[in-house]
Amino acid sequence: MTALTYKTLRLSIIGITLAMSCPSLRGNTIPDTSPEDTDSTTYSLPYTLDELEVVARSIKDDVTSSSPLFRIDDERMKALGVTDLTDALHRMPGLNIRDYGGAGGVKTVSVRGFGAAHTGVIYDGVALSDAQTGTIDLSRYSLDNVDDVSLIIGDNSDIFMPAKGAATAASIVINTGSVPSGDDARWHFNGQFRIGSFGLVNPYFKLAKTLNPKFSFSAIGEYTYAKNDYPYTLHNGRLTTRERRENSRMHSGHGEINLCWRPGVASTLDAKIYYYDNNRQLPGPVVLYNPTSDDTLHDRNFFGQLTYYNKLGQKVQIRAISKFNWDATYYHEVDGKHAGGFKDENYVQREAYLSCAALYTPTHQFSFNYALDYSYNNLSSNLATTVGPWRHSVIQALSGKFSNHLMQVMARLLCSSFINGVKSGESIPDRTKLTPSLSLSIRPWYGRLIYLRASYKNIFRFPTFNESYYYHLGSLQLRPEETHQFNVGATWQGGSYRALSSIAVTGDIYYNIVKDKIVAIPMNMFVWTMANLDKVRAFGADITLDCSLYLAQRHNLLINGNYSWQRVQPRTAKSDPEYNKQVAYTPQHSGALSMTWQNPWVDLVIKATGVSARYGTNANLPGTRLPGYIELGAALMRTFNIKSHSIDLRLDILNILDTQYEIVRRYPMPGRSFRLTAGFKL
Amino acid sequence: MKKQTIFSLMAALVLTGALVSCDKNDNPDDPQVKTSGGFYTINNGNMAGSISSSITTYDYTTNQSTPALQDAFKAANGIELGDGAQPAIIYDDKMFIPVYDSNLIWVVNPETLEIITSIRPEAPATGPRALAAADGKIYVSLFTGYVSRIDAKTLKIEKTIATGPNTEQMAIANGKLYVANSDGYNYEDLENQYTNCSISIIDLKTWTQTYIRDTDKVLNPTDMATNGKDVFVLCKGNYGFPVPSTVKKITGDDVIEIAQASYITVHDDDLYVINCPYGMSHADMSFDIYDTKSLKLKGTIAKQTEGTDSWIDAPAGIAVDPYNGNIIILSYHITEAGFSQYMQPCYANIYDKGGNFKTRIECGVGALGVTFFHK
Repeated sequence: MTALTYKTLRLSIIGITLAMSCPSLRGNTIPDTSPEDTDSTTYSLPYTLDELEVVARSIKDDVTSSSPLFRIDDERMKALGVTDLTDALHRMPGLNIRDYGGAGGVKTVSVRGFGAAHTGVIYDGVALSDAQTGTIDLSRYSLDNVDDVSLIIGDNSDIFMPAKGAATAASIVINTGSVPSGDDARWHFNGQFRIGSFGLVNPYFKLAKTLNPKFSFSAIGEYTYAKNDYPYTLHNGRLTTRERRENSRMHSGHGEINLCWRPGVASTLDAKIYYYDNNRQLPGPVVLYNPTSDDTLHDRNFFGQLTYYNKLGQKVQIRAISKFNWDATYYHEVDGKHAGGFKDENYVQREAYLSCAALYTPTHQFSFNYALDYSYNNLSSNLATTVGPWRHSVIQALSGKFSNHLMQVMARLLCSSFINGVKSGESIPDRTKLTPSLSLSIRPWYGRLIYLRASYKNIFRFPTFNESYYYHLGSLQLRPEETHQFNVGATWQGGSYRALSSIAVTGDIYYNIVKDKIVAIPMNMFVWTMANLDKVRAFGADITLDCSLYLAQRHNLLINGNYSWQRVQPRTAKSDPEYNKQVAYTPQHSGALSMTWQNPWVDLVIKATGVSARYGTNANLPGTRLPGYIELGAALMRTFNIKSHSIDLRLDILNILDTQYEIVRRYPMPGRSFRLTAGFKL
Repeated sequence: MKKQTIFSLMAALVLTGALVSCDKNDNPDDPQVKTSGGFYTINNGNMAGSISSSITTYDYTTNQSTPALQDAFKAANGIELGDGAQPAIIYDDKMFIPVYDSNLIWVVNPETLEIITSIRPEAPATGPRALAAADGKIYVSLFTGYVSRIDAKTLKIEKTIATGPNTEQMAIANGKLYVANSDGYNYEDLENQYTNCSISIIDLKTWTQTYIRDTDKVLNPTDMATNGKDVFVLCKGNYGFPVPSTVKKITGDDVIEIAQASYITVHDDDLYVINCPYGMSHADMSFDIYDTKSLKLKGTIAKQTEGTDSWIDAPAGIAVDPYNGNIIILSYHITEAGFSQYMQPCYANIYDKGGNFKTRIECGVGALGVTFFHK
């Protein structure tokens, strides 16, 4: 591929993206759509021809990124038969998804041996935060209105982003809710109805329209009911019985409105209003001989978000974001050990967030960004032991990037300050920390799409409200949990060769250190406290493959796979029994493979996810071993086009072999199940 | 249906157990003809680590114990003990093991641990926590605030009485059942922590109840110990924030404080007290013997030498063999930083009557009770 065509392609990618949606929303987090990459003249390009899109999609910043970056967009997800967000994440290497099972089961993600609290989730340009627990439950987010999902390990090579977006060891970036562009006057309606095993009913709609060239909107609604009473096999020594999950029903819904106003050629104002509600029963862990559980959990989340983007002349771009987030959790435990036979634990978290970022691009090769984020978080609860903690966070990021046709170098310095307080009692100390990151990507042969990368990132996570203040458990002396990441890797993207239409291969090896890891230590059996005690070392390798084969006219075979090897070792003290063992719930080997046969009749996807054995404790106690498993799934898909409308029919068969496995001990996962989805697009 | 499955399994187990144990029922409770055979440690496991409960056996005659990380209960029965096993008792040639989270009491052969049957407490009186036995009856405390009486012959729950919140250990002396009602889950209201706690004193003949309710003297009682005459109660206080954990003697409807304590047991006229609150260095821990009558300090429990197996790192329980006076101290292993390893197997140190170290055995995770058996 010549330099010229490559450059043209890059420009057209940007053009298409600009044409597809508001750049400010997407540009936050998607490197290839970032306006900083745009050459000064590209504003003539927003209306690039559509036919370039297919080609353009195959070259992205996934390739040029100086840190590992894996992305999957909605079309690709459809082509690969992705069923839900967890399934999408399984297509990315190095992830360890903790899943408590079923539609209502909490799902958290940890990356390369860091705890789940080190994984940031950036939803529509803003890093979600849970100051109470530090982890984000991904089961809240459905895939139906997702435009793309990315995993960024280490530093995002898009520097024009909020400072908070760089404040985690790894991020999962989810972009949703796009609105039609200014020149698209049609009504867009997308309706979908899904039914499935174990009482799953899931209607979804999206309505979108550009009312005038300056103003567009979309509205999204979704509801999920699932009984989740799936059967499972219980092994108890010599006895094997067939049981059923009980007290597992959920009602969940989410609605949102997205507005986009374009006051000028180079400025946009986006607004988003979001509400989520999930009322579910908790089946709890499987306790032998006693299946009773009557606990329930009700989550409610509201947020409103405004994003303003403006390009001030040729060299400066600015973006400002404001968000207010309200998040409530109502936990109802039924147990005669509590006075009255139950206990209610209600928590409400509030967050006010402001972010300003300015990008300065003095030449084509250099760009600089300064971002300032401020957030205020607080937590209140019905519990008398709650101290009412609050926190002001100020995070500043100064980034510089140099890129030319041979290399890309990026450096960032993050300055994080935290001011802590409580309504009553004593609070944890205020802290300021400076953390650097540096990454490099080289293209040694200009004619080939081979990129070599190396990166280092130092970051930390601040102790959560629970870790700091939870009654008896919390500790006011905690220091932040610090991480160091080193990565080297390569990406090769091949052109078409005979039947091979496209191929991309990535490989990375890494070495990570966690210092001052925050762990719960027992004061006695009943009273625990938190301390900066442990050290953890992780090293491993990730490989991914993505290729398309041309079989015959209108027959293609898509192959997508990844494999990860990881050793995550506690290294606190040599005499400890967990020293150099594998951290709990971390498989040494994990991977996924999917194959799609695209044909004129019914597209067929076969996919497999597998992990090796894990242990429930850091000391790898034999009794806590969880055997490895492979889960096999399939999807049959057909799209009917009627004039400009389309009808999608899809059948998913999950866990075809009815493999019984657990990701978390005592939380059995569902066996074979079916999902039937019918979608209509206007 | 899950419940039906489990009950049918249990019915099958009952049948098997009945066949095995039909010839066992000789003269109960005659210490004269008994010699001690060894002991079981009841290992709670760890719910946070999803580690099931287990039992470790130690036989005095062979000096053999259940191999590390193995479970004598599972070896005998092929199935798991369950979750949250509590200290067991042997009575009328049957061993009774309360299993809190699994909400059942296993009845097993005390020599082989083979299951005879199981007893399931019914709501609202659920969560078996502790057992005591006398005169053909087994008494079980249930953590939801009840005590039930089980007939030792029919193995059926006959009577249930409400005692107080979060019922813990019990003791029988002088025809009365002493019950520790800890109110341990009432910790949220810092001004009134554990204020509904009490000691129930139930007259076993009349099945009537009186209380000791003075929270200035009895706060968060969790353990009881008796030699059949004197009754001692361990009051955890609020774990030293600021009320420390102490041992007291029950005198009628009052108590007398003896010492700060974390674990207690009684053998004849000796009250064994270990004090080892969180953060205390080994040098400051105490392993003392008090006279049950004068309440005076009269000796040290065990001779420990640092760097040898006789050393107790982080005590988890104490028991004295009623037949030969052997002292068993349970302990957690500790990390290099000095923290107890709750998700790792514990150990039991065995000392003779004079406190001389004999041997150490590895137990299961979360060892919390010792049950002696005879031959």
